[in-house]
Amino acid sequence: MRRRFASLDGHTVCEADYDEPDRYRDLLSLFSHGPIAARGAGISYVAASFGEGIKSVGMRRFDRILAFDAQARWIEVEAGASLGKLYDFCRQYSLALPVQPGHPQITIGGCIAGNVHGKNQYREGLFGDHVQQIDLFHPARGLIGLSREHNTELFALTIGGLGLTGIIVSAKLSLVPMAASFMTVEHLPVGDLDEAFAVVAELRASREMVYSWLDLADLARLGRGYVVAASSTPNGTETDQPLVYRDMDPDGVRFRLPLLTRATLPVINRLYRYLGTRQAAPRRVPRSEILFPALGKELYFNGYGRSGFIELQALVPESAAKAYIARVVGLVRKHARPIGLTTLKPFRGKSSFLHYTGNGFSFTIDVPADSESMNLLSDLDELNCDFGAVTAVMKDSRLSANVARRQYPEYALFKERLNAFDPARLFASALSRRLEL
Amino acid sequence: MKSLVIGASAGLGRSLAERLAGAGHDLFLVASDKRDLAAVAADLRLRFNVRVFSEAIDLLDPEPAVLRARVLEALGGIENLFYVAGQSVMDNGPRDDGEVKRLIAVNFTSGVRLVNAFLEDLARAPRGNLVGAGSCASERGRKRNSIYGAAKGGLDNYFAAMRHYLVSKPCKVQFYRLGYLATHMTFGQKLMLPALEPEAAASVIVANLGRDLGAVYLPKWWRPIMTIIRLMPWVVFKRLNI
Repeated sequence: MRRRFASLDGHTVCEADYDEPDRYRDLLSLFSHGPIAARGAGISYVAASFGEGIKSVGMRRFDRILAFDAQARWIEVEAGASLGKLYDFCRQYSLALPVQPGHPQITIGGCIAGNVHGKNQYREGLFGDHVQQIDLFHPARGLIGLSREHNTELFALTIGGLGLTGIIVSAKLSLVPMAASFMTVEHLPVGDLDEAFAVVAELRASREMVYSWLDLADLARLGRGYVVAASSTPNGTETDQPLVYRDMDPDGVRFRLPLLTRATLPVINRLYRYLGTRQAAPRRVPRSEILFPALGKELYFNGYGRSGFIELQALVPESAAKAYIARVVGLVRKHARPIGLTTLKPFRGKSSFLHYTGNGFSFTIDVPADSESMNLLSDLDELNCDFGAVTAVMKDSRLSANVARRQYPEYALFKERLNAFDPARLFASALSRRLEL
Repeated sequence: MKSLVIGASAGLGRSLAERLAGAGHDLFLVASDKRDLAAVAADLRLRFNVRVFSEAIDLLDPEPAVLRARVLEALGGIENLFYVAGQSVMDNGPRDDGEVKRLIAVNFTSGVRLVNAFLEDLARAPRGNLVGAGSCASERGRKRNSIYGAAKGGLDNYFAAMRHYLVSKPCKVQFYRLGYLATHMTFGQKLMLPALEPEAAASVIVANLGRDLGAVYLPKWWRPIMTIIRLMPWVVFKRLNI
């Protein structure tokens, strides 16, 4: 069937074919004359699961828990299973996935294909670090079992492979003990970007989760905000309720009202910062509130108007952070764009292929997807290239192939390996085409 | 409670199995695909901590006595039987004989044979339910769904007879004339009316257990529509391309 697809940021919209098998015999006999894209929850910032002339294959019916071992701490699930479903299941055994991105609707297949990060990348790494096995389906190759011992090269290529090696059918994932279903959280006010970087750096080793919310919309008080620092503490008398949430549906959004503008954002952000910092003392909150900060804030994604928004997320090397901040502040003042969201997280790791990781800080901004913002983003691209920063390909809907090539040393190797595995390159998306993969 | 769900690997059957497991039922699941069944059974066992058994059989020609023996051995009895298997093609004229045979078997004769095998077990159950899934398509014969509609009509009739047969027993009979369901069977089709999510249909069916319903439409708003279709004069009906 033909249907409309839209990325979460609203920047990429197109009509394309869609199929949604609900039985293995239909999934594993999948045949297409043209390119295919696997699709999970369909709430990626970028068009990773659809594109013009590409047939999307929805995996939402393949969402079952296949096996579980509480003692050995692993779980095997189908790719369409959501983080929310697994969170609710695993916490009964005081276990959790080590890495969970910001919304419970996100599926396991999407987490693997994007090799995503959570709120504690500095301590727990990327999602792919905790994947033990994958069952991958490619119409020309059939069902292939992948692990760190078997088909290792394809395993490495599939994790963070943007769905370009095939359809992830199921995966076996490591779990970690969840000390408590509630966390003690502090919101530590910061006055500017320099202070935010310093506080995040100071707390990253001692706190279980550290990230920050900053305000770059108010040019008079640039970088004010707060750092969120959370740690597990023994359970009290509170009981964490099962997750209840409404699914986001970017494809169905027809009107995006321009609510987040240069006029409104300074006021909204000031109010948000006030609400975030008014309670100075540490407080106990359900773990899900820290893990899934986008929960309950779904309207935000539709507030930038008809063209949507762009999220630029750059991983800045630690050694360059101070000089980088000064240059960012200069560019923000120069372009004076309404920046709706700014966050900062500590990172640690070694990058390969197009994986978003490294030693430093992940710096994120959201801006309306208009021509003036594109000028700011282009300047930031150059800045990132100059400072050795990399831009997250799973977040930025306008990142060019040229910039990705300059920022990721293994860009060519990634493409070469994809071509070697699948010379016909059956799997594609609007994202892979934009990045010329 | 101990429940047998036939047609449990996808769509309504899978959703029903999930609702029943959530309500604490031990389950025996039957469908044609072993891998789908294994996945559903594992998921329900782990999430709801109930006993779930499964058996892959081909509804073209099942062996009712063999299945009955396996179900009784596994569950130790049976209280609820759900026959929700179905297969449909949009026909308009002659079809391949093998396909006709399969459509009739899955939608009618295998249902009759399997229910028949468990009938005395259900009659003895103190709080038993016999539940079937039919279709609005059986309300009046039409060219584009002739075999499926006729077969489901036969099943509808059989369930009406079973309601009559079980009238003096505690076992209640419910037969659902389903409208469009959002399953792979209707996926991509241009439907005249909205399709019901299988999860929503399963909730209604489980909530109705224990009620002497007979045959009802699901969703209910199909009833007036099908009444119009049924009462429509032939001179008008024959002009419709449905």
